[in-house]
Amino acid sequence: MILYLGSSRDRVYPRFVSELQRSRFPFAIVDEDNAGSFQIARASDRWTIHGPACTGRRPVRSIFVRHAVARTLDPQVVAPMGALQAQLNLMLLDADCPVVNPPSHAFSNYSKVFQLGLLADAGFDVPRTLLTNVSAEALRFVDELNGRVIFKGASNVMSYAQRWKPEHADRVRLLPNSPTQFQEFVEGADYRVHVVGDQAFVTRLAASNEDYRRSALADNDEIVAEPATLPDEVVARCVSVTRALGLVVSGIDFKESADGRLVALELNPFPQFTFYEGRSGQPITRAVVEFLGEHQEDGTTIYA
Amino acid sequence: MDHDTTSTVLICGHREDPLVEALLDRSDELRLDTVFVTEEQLFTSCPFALVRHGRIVRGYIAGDGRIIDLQRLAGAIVRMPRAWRPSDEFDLKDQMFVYHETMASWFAVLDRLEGLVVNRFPLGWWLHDRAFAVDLARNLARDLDVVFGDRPSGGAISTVYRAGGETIAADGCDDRAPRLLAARADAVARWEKASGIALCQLDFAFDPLPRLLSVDVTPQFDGSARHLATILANCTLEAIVRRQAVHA
Repeated sequence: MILYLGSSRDRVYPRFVSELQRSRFPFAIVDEDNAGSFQIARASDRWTIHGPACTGRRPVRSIFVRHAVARTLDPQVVAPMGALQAQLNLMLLDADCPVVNPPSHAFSNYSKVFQLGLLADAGFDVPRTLLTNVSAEALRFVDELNGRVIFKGASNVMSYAQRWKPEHADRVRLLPNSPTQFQEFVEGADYRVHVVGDQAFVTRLAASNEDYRRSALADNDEIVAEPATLPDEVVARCVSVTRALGLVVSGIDFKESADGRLVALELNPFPQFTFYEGRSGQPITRAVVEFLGEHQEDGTTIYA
Repeated sequence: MDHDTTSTVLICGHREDPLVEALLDRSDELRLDTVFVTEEQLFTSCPFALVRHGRIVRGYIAGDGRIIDLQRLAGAIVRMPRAWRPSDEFDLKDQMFVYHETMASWFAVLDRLEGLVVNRFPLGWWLHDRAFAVDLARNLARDLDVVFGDRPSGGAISTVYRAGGETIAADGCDDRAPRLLAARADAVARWEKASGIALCQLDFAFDPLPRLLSVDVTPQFDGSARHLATILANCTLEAIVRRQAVHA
């Protein structure tokens, strides 16, 4: 059966579970928001999961992972969730079945500039980028690019890209407190490519904000998302870089300028594909579920 | 600040660490140019810039009153205790943000160093991933073709260290672990290259077949093990010098 590891409060969850039910693939869920209800045990080379609807007896033949994010600092929530996730991650190291996606392979987007290097090495064009804690360097970079710069966080802690404005010049004095990533501003269309195994779904987005996620999540503006195409070699590169990172699913963001320059911005190993699917109508969730269902492995070390 | 144009070794750690102390002493003896910074200094008072233009990456870090071009760094030795936290002048949410921004940034900077970085810790280490150490050790055990994990009952532990491509036996360790590693030298070298771990402690048991018990990527050298720090420091610095000579 398929094992879902994640949070019932995650936005992907309802759609994904609905698709699992539609698919008729047997499945079980470990809801990490209910961490105290699950026990993970290992005996010899066999892992068992007990908890709601998990008897520890059914062989797990593929796994979908979207670890919960603690939405509180309350240690009574954080501690058991963290402990459960740590156990699950150890269990996943022993998984002999497909894992979408193995957390141990999914760290690269923690360091955005590091990951940009991986994308560049994979053959993608990437924006000119400065990572610094030096005010003078930031101002020099802005000057070299005639102010056509965005700045954003260097890690995967949520931050929105902001377009440089003259009033930001005063804020660079704060850089020694916290490094920041500056990039050339590539004005144009936003694309997201979702890779699922050998498949790819290209979505074009349009919003009023330079970071379309801000439009949808913070400003509640509607964004337009529609199925689109990108050159075959770009799509193929998306599939191959995803696989090279040891992932099955990814969400890769691009910007395309008016003169056709396509730059890769980042790769998300745990993309919120339902956000795009809900607007574009592309059957991404179904593709993920079908991958899990069709790539189940007979030999297993995990029972739920 | 002056731009440093000689080759330099960056050492990040704390002076109370016997290995850092040995590295600094040995660097002096070898007349290596070194810059020493504590973890706190690295994260709070070392200016840096990393610029990417296509596939070309340039940058610098500043420490000890000098600006050092990243391409002039012959190597770096990272012995951070990972105890740093942002100032409590920030509220908790900002502390968390600053912490992750700082870690993500310095990982990116160290990743771009072309010289030997000891250890070139992957993101799992930086993120305190509890599965990291297990995954690391399992991979080594697989490459060595030995069993990994705790054994059912106690017994003698054979401890060896790896540094600069050399195997150094701990006091009281017989020759089984060194012989095992020598016999599988290519596999060990591949693991070190793939994992980024050039300095570590390996604990084995032989009951009677070899079993890898653990890999410690930040071995400690207090008390009776201090003299080992001197040996490992020597091996590490010599490896940095050798690598620099090859790539010069």
